Amino acid sequence: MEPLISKWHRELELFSSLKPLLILEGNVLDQYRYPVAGSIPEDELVPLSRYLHGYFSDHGYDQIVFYSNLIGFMNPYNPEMLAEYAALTGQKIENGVIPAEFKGNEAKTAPNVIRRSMLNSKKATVQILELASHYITTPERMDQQDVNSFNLLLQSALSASSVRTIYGRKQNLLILVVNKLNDLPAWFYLNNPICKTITLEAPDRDERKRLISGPAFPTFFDSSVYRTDYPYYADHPEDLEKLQDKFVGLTEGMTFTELDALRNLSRKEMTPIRDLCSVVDLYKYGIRSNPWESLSMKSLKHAKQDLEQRVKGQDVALERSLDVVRRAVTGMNGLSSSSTAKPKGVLFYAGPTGVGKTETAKALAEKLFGDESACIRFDMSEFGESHSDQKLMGAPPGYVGYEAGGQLTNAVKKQPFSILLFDEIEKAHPTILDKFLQILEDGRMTDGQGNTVYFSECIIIFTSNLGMYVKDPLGIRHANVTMDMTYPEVEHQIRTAVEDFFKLELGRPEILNRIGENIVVFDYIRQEAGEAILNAQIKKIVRRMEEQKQIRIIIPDKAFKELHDAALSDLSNGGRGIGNQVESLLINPLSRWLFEMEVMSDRTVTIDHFLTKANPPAVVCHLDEKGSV
Amino acid sequence: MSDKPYTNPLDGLYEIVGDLWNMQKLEEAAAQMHSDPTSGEKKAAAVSADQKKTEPAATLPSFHQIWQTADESIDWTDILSGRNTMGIDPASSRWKFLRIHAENVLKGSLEDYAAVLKEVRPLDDMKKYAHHIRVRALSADEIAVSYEAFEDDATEHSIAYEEYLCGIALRCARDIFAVLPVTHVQVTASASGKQQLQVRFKRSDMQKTLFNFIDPVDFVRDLGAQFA
Repeated sequence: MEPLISKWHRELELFSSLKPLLILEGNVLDQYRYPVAGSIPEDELVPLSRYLHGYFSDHGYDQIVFYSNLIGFMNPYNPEMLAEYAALTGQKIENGVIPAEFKGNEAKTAPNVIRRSMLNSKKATVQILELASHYITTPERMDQQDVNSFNLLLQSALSASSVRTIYGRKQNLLILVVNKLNDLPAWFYLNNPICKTITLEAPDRDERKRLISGPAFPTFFDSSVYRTDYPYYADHPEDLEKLQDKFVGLTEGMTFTELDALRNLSRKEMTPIRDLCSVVDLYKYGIRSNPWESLSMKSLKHAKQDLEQRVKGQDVALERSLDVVRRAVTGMNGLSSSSTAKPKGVLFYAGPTGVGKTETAKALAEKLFGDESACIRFDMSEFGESHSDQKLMGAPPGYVGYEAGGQLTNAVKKQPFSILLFDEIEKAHPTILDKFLQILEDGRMTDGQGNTVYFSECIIIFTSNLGMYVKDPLGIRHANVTMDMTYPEVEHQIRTAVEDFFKLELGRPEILNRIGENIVVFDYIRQEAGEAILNAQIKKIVRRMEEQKQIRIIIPDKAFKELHDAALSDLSNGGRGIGNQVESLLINPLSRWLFEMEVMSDRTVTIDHFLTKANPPAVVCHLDEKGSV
Repeated sequence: MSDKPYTNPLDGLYEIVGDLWNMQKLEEAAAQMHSDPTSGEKKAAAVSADQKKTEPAATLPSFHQIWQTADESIDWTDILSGRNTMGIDPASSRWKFLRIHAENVLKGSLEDYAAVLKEVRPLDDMKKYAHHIRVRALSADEIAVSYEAFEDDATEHSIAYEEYLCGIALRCARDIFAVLPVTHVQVTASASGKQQLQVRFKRSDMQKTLFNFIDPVDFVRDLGAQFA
């Protein structure tokens, strides 16, 4: 197998012979995969300091020392090198380290010691300053001694000597390891021709693939598991490759330290090779079985009928919503993208009010996760301020509410397998839409407390009333769609308006791109659907009265027609409007009548008429003995 | 105790190691390896085994800690990948030995199991508590350990006889799981020619057990052990 060498390693190889001052920044607290066998075995994951020690040992450097302002100079990997370094720089070792302050003018301060060794031409020396960005509070608040110390480091690098070794001439090197480059004074590195900044990234797809499919593959398993399981995969390499590819996709965005933790978890749990990917769920969510995997094709076959019990007259919207679910269940989501860590699906529900958008989301949650509470709703009108993203994702350290975390991140941590419903998304502040971009693209978000939350097991649904009204040049709102339009006309009008909102009004076409073709337009509640909704609501009321109060309610056809005509006279407010009418024309008058007649239980009530024009509406009823009708 | 004449259930099975602590067999093995000039590693293993043979048995602080501790695990998958997590000097003969055998051990080779047992000698420290410890492979998945117990030993350590039997059985199983990638270890204890205990340990069960907090007799009984 050919060695796979990371970009930063190649840069290190190139620039360590060209520039005496290197700054390593970025993902420096992670572990790294050593790419070629040398003093460290190939593909071994090691901390950055050991990596650098191994690299420079293998490249013929005589002395490698590490410095920390809290400890001093040290070399935990080869104490002999430290002894030679002490002799070269005239320092004394105490308890295994050479103590040296970073600030100060004395000869034994770290920058002075570093300068002496950089000038030496006997031993090729590399000095690595660990977490160097923490030696000062901030670049803006440096005192003169801080400035002097960094200045001395700069001068040391400027006057670095080169040394003849058996590997050729080697330049003495000064390396600063920092989390963030801008924690260093800008004058130290900006426009500095002797300085090269090398950025360390989290492992990319190739690196992760190498780790799981290279020589390190067996290390992901307990020895007995590997011995019993591997013969099958040795005979079926195509199955092994599929498994490894899936693992690579699921671990997108993870650091090497996290991948190492996955390895340890897999071994500890004695995970069979075939279940390798379940370890990712266990690590991310703390659960062993993934509800997505336990969904049966059979239950999904009848999903549409089940959803239609709750959502009436939205044939197209339900079908398109279920398409997304089917893609997730069959594992075909994300096939068109490089990331399998993205959410399971994204839907953008648009359409008139009260037509079943939220109800569909809840019904889907019940269908998929067995519980309607798996639909977590956020009313985005509450997130209209510029600082609202902190409410959703958590405040940064030091700010009020930091300990509480974010509403969204907390919810997903608690229920990673869920439907996230963002109601009225157009009312959210644009900064929140930026956060959604990251969630939709990477499927992960780091909250204010530094915890990474994964959205890869969620379906994300946005709802919106965009496109219902348009403003003319004078700012006056006009209806963009009306009930007399056909569904294709309504869909076209609303879809166009949604696209215009993101492209023209908001100026964020990239958000629209992430939603893709998943804009689902809900139709108006038409006559037939309205009748179905009305019937369902009446049945529910009658059933509940019977069950809870033992009051039997009878509505003869003639009376029912009075209610039907009044409740369905205006369908522009959708199902919610019908519900309001039922409350106004049936529930309120009936409860008033029952109260006046002191009917509390165990009776039969027949409603003879609905006085829908009365103010307030009333009912004409009579009582029968229970069971007499 | 049963009056039935004791028959060793392992008799007639493929014996890979024999009595590892039988001096005569070790000498034979060493002589055989000396006669094979190509096998430098085998020689080293035999020498190492001979050296250990003359060393006094390791002293354990208390019998009650026997089942609470175990030998350090050999992570064969790490060794196969060249990942040295055990802190062994990569230049040492031990590391070379493990590297040579890793692939075949992970293929379930009984000959390599035997070589590892001879080199590592996981049950040596149990000689203080039991006699005639024998190790056999029932298959690549399962190792059988048998030992002779004496009631005097229990009295000497001031413990109940059953606790004595189970403690040693647990420790033997843990030590075998530590050095070989097997899924089961069967332990049989006998005394005066009669079987006293037979129990089969499963690796995955052992992996999740906190041995500091168990009662060895209850633990072994829960595994369906047969006591005499």
